[in-house]
Amino acid sequence: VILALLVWLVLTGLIGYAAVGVIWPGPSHWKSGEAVLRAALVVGLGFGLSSSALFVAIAVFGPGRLVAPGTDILVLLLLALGARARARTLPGDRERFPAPPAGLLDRAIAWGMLALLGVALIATLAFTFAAPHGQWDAWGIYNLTARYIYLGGASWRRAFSAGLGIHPDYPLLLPGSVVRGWLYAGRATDLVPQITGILFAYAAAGLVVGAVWVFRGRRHAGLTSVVLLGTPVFLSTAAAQYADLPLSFYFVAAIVLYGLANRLPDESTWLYVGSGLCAGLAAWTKNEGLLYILIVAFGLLVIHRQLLRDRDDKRAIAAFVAGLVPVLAMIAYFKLTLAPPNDLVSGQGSGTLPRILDASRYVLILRSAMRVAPAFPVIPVVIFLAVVGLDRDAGDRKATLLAIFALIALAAGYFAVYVVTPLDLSIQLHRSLDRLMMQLWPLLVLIVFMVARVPEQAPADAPT
Amino acid sequence: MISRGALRITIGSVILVAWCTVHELVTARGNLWAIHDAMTGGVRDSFALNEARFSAIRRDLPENRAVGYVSDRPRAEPKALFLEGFVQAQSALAPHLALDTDTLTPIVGDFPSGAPDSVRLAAMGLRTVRDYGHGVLLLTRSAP
Repeated sequence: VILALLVWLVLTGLIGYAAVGVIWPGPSHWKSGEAVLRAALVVGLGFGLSSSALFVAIAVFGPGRLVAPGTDILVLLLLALGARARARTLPGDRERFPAPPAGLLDRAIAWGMLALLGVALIATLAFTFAAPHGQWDAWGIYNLTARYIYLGGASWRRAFSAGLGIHPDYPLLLPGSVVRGWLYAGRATDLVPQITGILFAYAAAGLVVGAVWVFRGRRHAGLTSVVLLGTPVFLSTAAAQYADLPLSFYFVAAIVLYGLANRLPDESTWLYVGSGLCAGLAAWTKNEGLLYILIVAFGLLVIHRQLLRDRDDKRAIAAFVAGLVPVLAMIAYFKLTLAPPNDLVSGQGSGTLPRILDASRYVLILRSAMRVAPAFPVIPVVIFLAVVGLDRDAGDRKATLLAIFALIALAAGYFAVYVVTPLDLSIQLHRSLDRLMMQLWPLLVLIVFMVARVPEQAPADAPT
Repeated sequence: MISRGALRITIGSVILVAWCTVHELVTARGNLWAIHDAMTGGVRDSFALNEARFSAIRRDLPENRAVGYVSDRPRAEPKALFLEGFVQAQSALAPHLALDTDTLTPIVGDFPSGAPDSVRLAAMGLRTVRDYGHGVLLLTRSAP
């Protein structure tokens, strides 16, 4: 089993590596922000693309043992050919994001970050050991769906029966990744969802850290990692085998790749494609991703509103759509032919308006948010911003604005869903609010360190 | 000499690092207690227990259609004991599909606190086809 799992992980990594080679080819020093960012993208794109391809293959051939390796090798070959062709079009080695040498404080933060990473990994493994099957949603949704697909044989569609588990309509990125690992392992071992969850969690953290390192410098990146690893909900969610951190990964990845495209105009087309792909993979992870697609698409149309007249705007939107559409088509097939109705949607009707007009629901949601907020290090982040100050001329204005808009619109969307939910509101808040806030937390941390003033820009005119 | 801007960055960074480090260490300490509980048997693996409980009944379930499911677990929220037991039973019974109803037959009976006697089952309109032990029964509708 261990050898089979190693093959599964190596192939996932190679698929992700080749995908990054298509979207954002180029060398990077291993101790650079680019390397951290690329490594995180390798994990997210590797799992996302292989899971998507496996679903298409299962829909055609069923979940046979050879489906996973066969699909993986085909996807890897196609991506490797694409990456090779892309590499030929690029000029030789060049440093895209030159970094100043590290100072004493930078080194101290880096060592502190490594120490925290060690503690965080131990804490995550402890959580995994204590709850090897993950938490509620893991075994009630994702792993349950994966079991029915994996064990179902010709009856794999039974995994989407109304009445199976909690939400049989949820999209399949995570169950698909788990099925894929089990097909390699030859049995439904707990190690597969455990490894998948932990890799996605630390890839999400690495993505934010790498992005801040690239866009805002080493010191902010170190602080970013401290904030994310110092978030208790992050540590528990990392081991819970939930889809919330994978979802937050794709939320952030779509914004980061969009920001990179703006910073690297010569390489922007494929970065926009990657941004659209990651937005699509967010919707393949959880239903909240569909809302995210609407929000990001609206934000992009506002930013690139000259698309009918401006060639660059037209190219940006077209490339984003090109990355998004294949995943969206797969989601449409799943939702229209396999998934049962969503309980939050089908539960709407004559009771919806009274729920919207019920002020006590708004108060309950806000109170619950205040109760959950201390699980996130909001106070030190606010103090940090107040002490350091804002950089109003941040270089990556479009990406930062898109991120802020996405964060506010997602939070508003989640609030609205709680208001109209036909389920018991207090129970739903109790079970999901911390996870929903965790979905948004990496995006919020990214925004904080994108707008916080960096050392070089601090007012240095007044010696003390 | 240190500029005011650099001093502000340093102060902000120190506050952030100190706060988040304490936050993480407190969480990590809680997790280490969880691992201690798991190693000393404080945490029971209910999935492994259910896998063992339901392994025999799986052989007697039909392949191509869903079956019913009844349990004596309380349905009252917020602990959701029924839902928790039901979903774990579905996981253990996979790929057989058990649904929360007594209108589909046969019916999987899941009574972790002990199988009910025939009188109680008859009152529920059910009768035992086979008893697998550990509170797991294969049931069917009793004749009206």
